[in-house]
Amino acid sequence: MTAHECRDRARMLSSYLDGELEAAKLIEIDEHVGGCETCREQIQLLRATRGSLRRVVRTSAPAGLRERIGSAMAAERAREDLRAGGEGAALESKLFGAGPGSWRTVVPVATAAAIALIWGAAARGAPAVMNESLAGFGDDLLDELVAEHSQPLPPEATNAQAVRGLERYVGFPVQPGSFERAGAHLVGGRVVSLRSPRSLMLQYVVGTGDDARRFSVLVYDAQKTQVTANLSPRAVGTAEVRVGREKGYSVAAAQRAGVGYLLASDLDPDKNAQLAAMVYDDR
Amino acid sequence: MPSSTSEAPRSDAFADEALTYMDALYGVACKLTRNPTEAEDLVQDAFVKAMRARGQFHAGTNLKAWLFRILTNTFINKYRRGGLERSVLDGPDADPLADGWVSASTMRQLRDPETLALMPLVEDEIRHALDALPAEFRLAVILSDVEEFSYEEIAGIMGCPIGTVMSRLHRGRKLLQRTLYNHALAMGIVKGEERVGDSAQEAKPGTANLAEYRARKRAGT
Repeated sequence: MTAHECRDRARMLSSYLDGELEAAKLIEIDEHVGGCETCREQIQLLRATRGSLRRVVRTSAPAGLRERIGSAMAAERAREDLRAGGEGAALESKLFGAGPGSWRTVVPVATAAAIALIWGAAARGAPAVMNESLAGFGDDLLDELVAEHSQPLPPEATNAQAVRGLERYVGFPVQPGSFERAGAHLVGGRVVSLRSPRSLMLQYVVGTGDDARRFSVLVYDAQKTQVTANLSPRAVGTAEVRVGREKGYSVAAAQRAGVGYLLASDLDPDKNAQLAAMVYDDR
Repeated sequence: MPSSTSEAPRSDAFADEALTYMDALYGVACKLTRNPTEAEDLVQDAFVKAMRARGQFHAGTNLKAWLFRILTNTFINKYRRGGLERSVLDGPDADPLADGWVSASTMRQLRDPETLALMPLVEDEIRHALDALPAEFRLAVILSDVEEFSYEEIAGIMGCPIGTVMSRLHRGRKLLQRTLYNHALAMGIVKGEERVGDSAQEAKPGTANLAEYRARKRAGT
């Protein structure tokens, strides 16, 4: 066994140690490890490192944290009980409008968008997105898109050529021109790095004057990421897109050549779906 | 919980069960935020969100994994927008580690009984190496090695495919090992790999340097 072949096996050793190898590979590695000192040593070192990691990471929370969190959870529950008394509208305004005395000031929370995502899922009565072991990233994409659309950050690139220049940061082709054929004007784009597969956020304006409407497009690597959210298929001409509503915005998803496009706008759902379908347009 | 007021919360089975994982969440939160105060806030945010979303949790399924998922999402939403992500591509990951693992002879030195006596020092080094890992790798390694989640559970928690989990684990562990190796090399615990080859003669210089290292360490502390 050459060192090179052992290196190729290194990744499998990780899985071997984790008890995650399929049976056939397990037998192969078992046999190999029996006769290969290098790999045996490697496993022992991995085990030793694991032991040290446990000692380094495992810790007790500081005194008082349990009480603090327990109270915060109880307060949350009390608020729910209060709302159950029939204050749906007040809840909405608190969630999205955040008047004074909002619960947000009572309990520190991450971002309104993150909360709204959980609420959104709860309100839809969607089948427990959080419990689906593989669901999630796509919902984060939708969350990110809607957050960016509602409160856009300034673009990094403000013309089509510069936007295409961002391709090298995301690793997939970007065609900012698709939507301009529908009369939209590109405002700009920027790289969004929610998680390791980076994506690109494009901002457009369609229409003029009082009719001008913004829409945002999240362009992502569809081979690495899938939108798992509850969107319904809709035919636009011969193309099919998936559409839905998210926090009051029209959203639509389309996919072409391994690249995903997720649109959010305050346009009506039909117009939004038509825009999404532009990615299939070859003109 | 001690109840001193008349408005003391009723006992809540969900909250009680969730709180049994608080130490685990806090330990991981410390490693994610690298700041104990922020870790406390992060854990509290996660628990409050869990409370709010508890209707979505199916009793009997893995509550610990579900809580970690909320913790991870909270962390990402709270801290990631600031561009921390950059570290994944610009950080140690970009470093060509193509030749990966440390050689067998070096590992033998690292595991040598004398060296094992250095474990507390090595742990200090592990701590630093862990902190230096890109967050994705750090989290994957901790979820697997410390919290003993399966790959499938980690994929669910991190919201990525299992293949990505495997690759993050593999690369994260490789980076950790490389850092430890570099540390051992700098401390003179092991010899440089270039000179490695004759296993019969390795132990001696390693041991000699170990004594020297200990002396230096004593003098230093």
